[in-house]
Amino acid sequence: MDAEILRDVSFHLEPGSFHFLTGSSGAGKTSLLRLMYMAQRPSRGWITMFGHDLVHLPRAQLPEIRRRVGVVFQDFRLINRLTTFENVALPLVIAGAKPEDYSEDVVELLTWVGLGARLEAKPPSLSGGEQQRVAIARAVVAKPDLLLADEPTGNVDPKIGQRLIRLFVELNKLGASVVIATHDDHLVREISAPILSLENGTLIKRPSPTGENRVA
Amino acid sequence: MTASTHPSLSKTWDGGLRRHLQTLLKPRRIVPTNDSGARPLLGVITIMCFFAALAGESVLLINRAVDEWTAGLSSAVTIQLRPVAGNTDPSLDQQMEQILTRVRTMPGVIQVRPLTRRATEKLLEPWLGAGNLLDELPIPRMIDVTIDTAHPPDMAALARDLGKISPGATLNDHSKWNDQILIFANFLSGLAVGILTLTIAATAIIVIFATRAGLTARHDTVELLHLIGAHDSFIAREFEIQFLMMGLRAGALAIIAAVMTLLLLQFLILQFINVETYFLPAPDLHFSDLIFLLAIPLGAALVASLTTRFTVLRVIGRIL
Repeated sequence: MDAEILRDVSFHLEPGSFHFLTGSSGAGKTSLLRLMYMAQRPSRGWITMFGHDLVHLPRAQLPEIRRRVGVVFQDFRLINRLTTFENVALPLVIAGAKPEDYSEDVVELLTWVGLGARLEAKPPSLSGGEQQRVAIARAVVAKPDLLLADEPTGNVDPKIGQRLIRLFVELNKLGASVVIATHDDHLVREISAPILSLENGTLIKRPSPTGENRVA
Repeated sequence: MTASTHPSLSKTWDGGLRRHLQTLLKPRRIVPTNDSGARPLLGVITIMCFFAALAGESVLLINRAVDEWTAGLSSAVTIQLRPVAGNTDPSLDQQMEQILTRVRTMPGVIQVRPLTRRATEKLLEPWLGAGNLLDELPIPRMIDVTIDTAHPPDMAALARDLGKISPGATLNDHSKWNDQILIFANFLSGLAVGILTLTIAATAIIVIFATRAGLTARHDTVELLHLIGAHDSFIAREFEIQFLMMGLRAGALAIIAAVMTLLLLQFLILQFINVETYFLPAPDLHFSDLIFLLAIPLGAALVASLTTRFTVLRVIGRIL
């Protein structure tokens, strides 16, 4: 039997909340996010999201729930044969949107994250930071109800990092719940949002380091 | 978000961005199957389509030839009147007249044509040579009878009547030949259909392996598509379209190869075989052949795409 990575993890995210997910390497941050973006089901326990029981939800209904969740993967997961524009537009294409309905939004979003001049570039020709921005743009393009980001500012310089976090904050203000897994203490202090801290596979809820919640 | 609300976008929108977008929006396949294996796979499917085309063409040629042979044989009956020692009263000519009278009055007979001695001699020329037949040599009298195949005469009654008229009279309705030709032709057709079926099955198996390899090679992309909300059918369509296009291309190449092969065969027959004595099916192209050949790319595309869809749905159905 596989060892349990997460146990005694219980939390509730209010709609429109903003949380950081912290913990040392191997604490289970990515595992928790994987459960939240439905890459796997828990071996025990239960998860409900948007009123659905994810543990027992029929597989055929998962795509509709997943479309309401934007994910920034730690390894970006861009498709190398697609351009920057196509990578970002992918969630919209999958949702059945027509190019004429989304193309301007995608261009604007890419311009906003500083990649307006790299619309036709493919991921292998982009730097790590640029790839990360493409991944973030893809995660937010469909205006998800829940945004999950795994170390979203790990590869970008602080200035760009701040800008990207602002994007998350703006999306949060529009009503999306945001969970950002990070090691970046500076970021956690600066944004000052409640913290979900994973320690040895258990979850501890902490208030923001400054004692106030600036985002939610 | 709109273009008009963003200054940087507004600046560039009229300056070529529209054209730029048109380039961006060109459809591109999200999931490539297996770039390095695509060409050999195209080659293998083309060969399979070529075999399928030849097998199918064989069925059409055989059926056409059998129709020609059996149409001629089943509507023709031959009556032979052989001189028999001691059977001279009435004379052979009188016996011939009695037979003609009897046959002409039978229902189901369309035409009765007695062969002249010269015509009968001509039939023997391939064996005996021209002008080598002695006048004294007793040659059987022949009567060609054309019957209505829809309402044939009572052959058993005719045979009985002929026997009463003359002990030397026999009836040959070619049914023995007809049956044997049909059995042999059906066997050949069955063989060709079997080859065609095996070719389709082999193509499907190849496509299954290629699809599985493509799914394994693109596992990360498939998982990503799932995680951002793609239904299985969306992912299956990505693979399906590529194999559909490959099937169409392979089928088109196979048609060209098959037509060239048939034309070459036709040329060789015309060059090296005596056309007058040639009785096997001629590999000439009819309208039905063209219809069949045009169906090859469509069939290949259908087999490839359906097989791919089935395989993809089956494999990714096990992934969350």
